[in-house]
Amino acid sequence: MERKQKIYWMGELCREHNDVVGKKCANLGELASIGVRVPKGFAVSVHAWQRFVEITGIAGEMKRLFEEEGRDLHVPSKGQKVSSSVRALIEAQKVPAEISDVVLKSYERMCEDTHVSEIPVAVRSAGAVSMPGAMESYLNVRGHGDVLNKLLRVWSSAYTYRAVLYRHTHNLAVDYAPIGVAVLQLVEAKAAGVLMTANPTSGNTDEAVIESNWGLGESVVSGVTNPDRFNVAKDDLTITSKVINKKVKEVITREDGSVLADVPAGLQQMPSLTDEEVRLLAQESFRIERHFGEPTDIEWAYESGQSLEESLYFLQARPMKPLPKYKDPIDKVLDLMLG
Amino acid sequence: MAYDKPIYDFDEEYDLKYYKAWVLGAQWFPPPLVPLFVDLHFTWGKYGMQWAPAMLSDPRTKGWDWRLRNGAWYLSVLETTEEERKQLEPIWREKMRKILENPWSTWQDRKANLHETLFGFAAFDLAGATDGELVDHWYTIWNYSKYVQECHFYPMYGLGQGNIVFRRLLKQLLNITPADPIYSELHSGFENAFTTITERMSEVADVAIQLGLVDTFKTSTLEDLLPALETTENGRKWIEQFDEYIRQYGFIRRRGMEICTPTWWEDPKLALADIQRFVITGGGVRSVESRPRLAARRKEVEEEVVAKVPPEEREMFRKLMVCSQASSVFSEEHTMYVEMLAFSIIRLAAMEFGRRFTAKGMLDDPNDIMFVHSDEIAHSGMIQETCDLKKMVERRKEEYAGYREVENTHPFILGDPTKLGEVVDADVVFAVNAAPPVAKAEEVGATLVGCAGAPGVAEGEALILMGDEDMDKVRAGVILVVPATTASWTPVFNIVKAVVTDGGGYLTHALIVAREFGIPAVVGTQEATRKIRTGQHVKVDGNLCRVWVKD
Repeated sequence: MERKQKIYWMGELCREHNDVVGKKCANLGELASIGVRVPKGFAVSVHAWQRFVEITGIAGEMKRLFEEEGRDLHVPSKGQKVSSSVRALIEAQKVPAEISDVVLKSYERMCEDTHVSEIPVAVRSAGAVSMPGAMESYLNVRGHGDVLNKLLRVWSSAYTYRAVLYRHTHNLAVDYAPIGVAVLQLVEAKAAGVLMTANPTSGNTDEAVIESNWGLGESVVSGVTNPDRFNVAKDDLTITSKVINKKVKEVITREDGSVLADVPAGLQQMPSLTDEEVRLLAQESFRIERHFGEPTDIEWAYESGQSLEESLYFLQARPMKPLPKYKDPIDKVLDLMLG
Repeated sequence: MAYDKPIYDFDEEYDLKYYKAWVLGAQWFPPPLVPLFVDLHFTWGKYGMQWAPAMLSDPRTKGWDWRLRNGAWYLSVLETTEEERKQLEPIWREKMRKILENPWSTWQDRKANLHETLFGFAAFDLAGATDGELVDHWYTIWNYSKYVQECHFYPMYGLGQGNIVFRRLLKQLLNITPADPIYSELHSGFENAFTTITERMSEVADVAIQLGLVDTFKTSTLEDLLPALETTENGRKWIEQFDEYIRQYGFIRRRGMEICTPTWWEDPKLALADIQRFVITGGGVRSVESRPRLAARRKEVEEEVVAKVPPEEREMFRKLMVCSQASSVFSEEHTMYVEMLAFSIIRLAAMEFGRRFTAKGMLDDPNDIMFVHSDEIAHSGMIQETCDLKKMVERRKEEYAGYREVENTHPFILGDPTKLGEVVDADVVFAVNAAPPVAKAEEVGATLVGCAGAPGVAEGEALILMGDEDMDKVRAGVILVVPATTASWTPVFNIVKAVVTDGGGYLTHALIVAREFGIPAVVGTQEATRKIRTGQHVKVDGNLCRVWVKD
């Protein structure tokens, strides 16, 4: 593949392309390549970021800002000051024409393909290494100006204080942070959340654990609400446990992005997924796990108003953190009995 | 000597060499047991409690052992050797896994079998049988007692371990002791066959109230009650209901672990006495009112408790909790089938022999059959004329009379009393019978401290009753103090304020029933009947397992 493209469609990518478009985009491309439903969209490449820095000539200024504080980046007051200066510098730039042309052309194509003018999209960061929560993503982005504006903001989010501190403590270059950006059709999620293809607390690899809430998955990822929990057996997709919690808050899209809102009273104690939805989600997730060959941490969403198969989207798939060593609960009981 | 069965005699030297300590079987004593029951229970009960650990390949214990000492029962436990433990453990794990996968079925499946067969035996026409048919029946039911005791002890070992370990886990993870109300709440609100019998009884009492018969019940003595009811139409209507109740549940006897007292079938007045108390105290039964509340509360507490358990231990915790709950229900319910129905069937057949032998002049009184062993009954059953049982009976009755004289003098523990904890640890199921008190009475400033409690606090006048034959002396609102209660005491829990027992452990009858009836109880105090006198004002705190005499 030509590595000098500024944008790539999801269908052109696979997991080999971490360095080209960032991990998140490469993984979504990999999912698309095995026939898993992912949102339509494209990736703005790392190369595009590099061209942005070259054309605007801000590299020197960024280097200078970092050198001012030298090794004291771990001191919050100093680190935060550098972070905001660098971010302001980036956000003050204009996206150069050679980049904005292809980005806007691709956005136009999304609008044409879906017959929606100014289609709402999500603009998400995709670093080459994953730094959970360190960088920013924007939801419900619409129209040319907004897309370019959010592209700049995501680029600048590679310099949030958390991201800078992460690179600093891991001995990575602090001033040079090339990232990819995903521009994806916004999924109008009815319910969304995460699925782990193994039980992260018990270490049991024979079941998946789903956490689900109404609205977008951000409420589950960020932990603002107590989500519903489903356990699904890997061998026959039996739902072995179903805990329906009272879900007070959800994240929903608004004109100007996404907001945390109250769940309507009538829905708070209703299951956010039907049994059929749980089983289909688990079935597809186990397929993803088989493809990756290891326990996988998955973000997913169900859209409203579609048939079951057409409403399920996968937004993210990455290896799970190392699992605790699994011990069968009955064996634990027997050990206790023997004292 | 143990009624011509010296193998059951306690040997002061030998039996203290192999066993750490022996505990008085306070649930079943006093009064002393009659020879036929010693034969029945030492043949099959002792078999069952050693068979179950053997069949489960239990790595730690060979089960309980029993001895008679001056007519009193003592129990202990024989531990396995280190080598046996290693060999048994893998087999035991496989067998216990099956039980833990579905704890409720361990008892429920056996209960269904017992129900069908035992009610079949109950329908046998004793009076119409020939001598040959009667002996045939005797052997059938005697040998079936083997299966009855297997059904008794397999769940007791399989599930009982779950209860005991769950108790330890609650303490370890959440610092909850068996005396804590949370422990009780996790184990109450279940239906069991025995409570059902009491609830049905209260319905029969309610009918009497609806029919306007309260005055008749209040003004009549127990003897006069039925004749007085016969004189009115409503009274006769009620007697029909009563007869139907007795027909269905007449296998109940006052004493569980004994067969020398009559069933309700033989003497319906025993049930009538309970019903009379219900009618006079206004009807209604506490467990019916409290069960839905307790069941709902249990579900809440389950979730609260599980949420406090570290997530990686929750699945294990739930498995153990269900096993513990199933064990608690089994512990109470098995007595209806084992100690009531099965033993009553043996009793009724024995009494038929008693009547026939008396008619032939082999015995002086039908009740003397209780002093004859099973093989002796069978031996004499078909060729009755050739056997004179009177001399044997006379000798054993003298022995029995001697035991009665010393029945309140037996030490609670034989051997080293400080070893009780070790005995309980070696065979966890043993804790059903006895466990050390939760604290030392003198250190906490209480008169008595028990090993477990049912939640609540009550104060009132103490009433000491030494055995089942005293049950009719119970009055409403007293604090009942007894060596132990058995299933037939269940209706009494409806009218007393609280219960205190000498004996008992974590799954003892008084504890389980008190929880279901929502009254406080303290069990395993070892000496309540000796330290408290009738009429004294006492305070019972089931939450702390403590009892104080206030005057």
